[in-house]
Amino acid sequence: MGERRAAVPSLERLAQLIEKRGYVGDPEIVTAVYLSLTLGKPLLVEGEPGCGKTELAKVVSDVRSAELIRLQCYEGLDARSTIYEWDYLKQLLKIRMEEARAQSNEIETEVFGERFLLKRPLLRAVLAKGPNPPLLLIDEIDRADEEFEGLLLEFLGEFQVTVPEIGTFKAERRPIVMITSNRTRELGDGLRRRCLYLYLTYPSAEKELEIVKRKVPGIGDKLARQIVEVMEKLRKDDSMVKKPGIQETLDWSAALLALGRKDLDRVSLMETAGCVAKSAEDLMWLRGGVWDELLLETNS
Amino acid sequence: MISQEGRRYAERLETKLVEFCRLLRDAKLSVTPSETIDAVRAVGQAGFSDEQVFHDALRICVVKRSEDFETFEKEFRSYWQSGRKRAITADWASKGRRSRRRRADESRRASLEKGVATRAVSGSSSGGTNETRRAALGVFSPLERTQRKSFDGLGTKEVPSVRRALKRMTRRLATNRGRRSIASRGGRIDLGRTFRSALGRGELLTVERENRIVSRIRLVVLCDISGSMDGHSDRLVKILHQSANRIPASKVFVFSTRLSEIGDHLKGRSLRSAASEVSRNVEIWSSGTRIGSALERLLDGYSRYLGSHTVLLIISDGWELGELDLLTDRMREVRRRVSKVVWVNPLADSPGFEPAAAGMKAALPNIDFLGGLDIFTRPREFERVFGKAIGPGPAWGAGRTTNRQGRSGAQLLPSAKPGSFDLNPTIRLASLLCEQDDS
Repeated sequence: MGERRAAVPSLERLAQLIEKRGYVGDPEIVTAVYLSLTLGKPLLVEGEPGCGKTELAKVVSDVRSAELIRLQCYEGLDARSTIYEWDYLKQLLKIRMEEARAQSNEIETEVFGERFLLKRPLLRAVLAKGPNPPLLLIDEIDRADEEFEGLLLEFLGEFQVTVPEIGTFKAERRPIVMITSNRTRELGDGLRRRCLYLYLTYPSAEKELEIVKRKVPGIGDKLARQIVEVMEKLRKDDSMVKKPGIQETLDWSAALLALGRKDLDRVSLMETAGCVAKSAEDLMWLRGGVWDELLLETNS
Repeated sequence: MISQEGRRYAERLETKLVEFCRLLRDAKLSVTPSETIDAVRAVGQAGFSDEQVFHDALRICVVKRSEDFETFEKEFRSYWQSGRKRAITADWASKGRRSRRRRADESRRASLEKGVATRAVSGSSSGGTNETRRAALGVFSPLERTQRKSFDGLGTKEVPSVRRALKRMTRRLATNRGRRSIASRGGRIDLGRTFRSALGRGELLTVERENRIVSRIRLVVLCDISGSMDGHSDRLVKILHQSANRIPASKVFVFSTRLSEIGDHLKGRSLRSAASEVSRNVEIWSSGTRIGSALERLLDGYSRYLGSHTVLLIISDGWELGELDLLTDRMREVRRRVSKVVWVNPLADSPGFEPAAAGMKAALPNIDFLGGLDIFTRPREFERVFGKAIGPGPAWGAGRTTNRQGRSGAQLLPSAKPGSFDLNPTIRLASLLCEQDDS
């Protein structure tokens, strides 16, 4: 509508803005976001669960002052749950109320108006107003199926939605699109080609230490180092069914801090094992001797 | 204003980028002109003064799978950092004009002649298995004999029953009901369509229903062609050919000491022509059996074919030469990924068969159905036994129930019982909905 939106900052400035909001990552993350913004292509972020994919979207939406519109994916996702659906109950009620008074075609026009249209995330992304384009986050697309990918591809090509009873809505400007996937299944080629690709995995020990210190202020240096060391060892060992991600590191650090611990000892490990292990087998595995081994190694 | 020199530099950089993308394509990375354009634009935006940024920008645009990162690194280092430039041969220019299939055939033939497997680098995960690495170097393990097979005189007698058996199996196994719905006679009330039809009439007269669609199954065939399976190769070729051509979205692999995808050799060809393609291009017949490492290679390089709507059909006699631990472990992993595992063992045709071979025993806990090769020649019997083993399938009336004109039967709203109050249609619909929720 004639309002100028914020221009894309330079690569260096973008790095500063992202870092200021507490997101610690490798330089390629900034490059990927930068290219997604400047080339106008969606960004596909794949990686292990709990490694900051969704967090990245939140940070980027903040940096760009973009409304975050989130679509959480699951199997069987279709147009009804992602684009629009009619509010049937409201329509039924309206018809009942008007039955006595008006003609049927008058009712029809009213009942298929925008008031009775439930706007789902994709349509909301198209209709978003304001100076800055919204950020459309399509979270965990690997949980949806191939049919949804087809639907999404079509949408990403045009950013327009046709509701037969009303008309066609076209986005005034392209939303920023970020798609995340936990790699539980292979995504189709069509979607991959459409997007730029970023792979997020567990950080190095130094990076994770930095993250812990930023996100859990007040934690002692010694404890933080011990935590990070244990996490690195746990991830290297392939025995865990659900490997802990960065989120687990932060939860664990916060828990230990809340319990007032300054040091990793057996008691604290046993008490807080639930922060690290997210399944019954892993919990049993940790509690059955592995903790003691790790403790010995870390404290030596 | 860009200077003359600046413009020349930009052109040279663009040429180099395009050449680099071509090299990546030769290294089996899938890089289309679209990605090349992105790469050029990205470098234009992000700049090329910082090597890390340059590297990242290229990778972000051009590599679409984390499995391809290693190949990209290698090519990047060799092209941009070693200072040597690979010559663009005249070959490339002419290659662009040839059809895809012929190019694939030629490159396969050329490398077969050199004795190096072409599949060595495609889709390999970081590291790849020992076999693929060795194969890339042109070295074969002592247990592996390169032996081709000829299929002259292959009859087509059993083909129809093979086809029938395969179709019945895949249809029977398609029991997963997805969350998508389709118009049908039975099932949940579809408010949207009920409503739409009512508006046309101005009155709620009929109730439209919907049911969940039974999703189709994908078939992945893993066929043992080692020495012990030699006697059955004719029948195997027929099974593989029918799988590739008659079952949509199927993938066909053969293995002995190595795994090889042969879908391309079979699809779109007659049995005879497919058989001669296979005999020309597959050279791992009659070697030793390594089921475990075949499964590992399948999981590493082709995991995109193994999904929750996939059925894995393994045809092998279970005489495993490799480590049993690997076999057990990989069977467990594969069973976790796919919907069902069906194992066909030629030895099971003989009466009194018991799964005694070590490999067979190790794999047994993760198999949903074990049968003999005869299931492909006696499809009706097979279906009976199969049905019992797999369990009840979707109820009749699931899926499409449209009549010949393509319209589904709409059900009249049950009218009010005589003697009761005349409940108007809206309330009748509401009560139907409540009944449905209760059931």
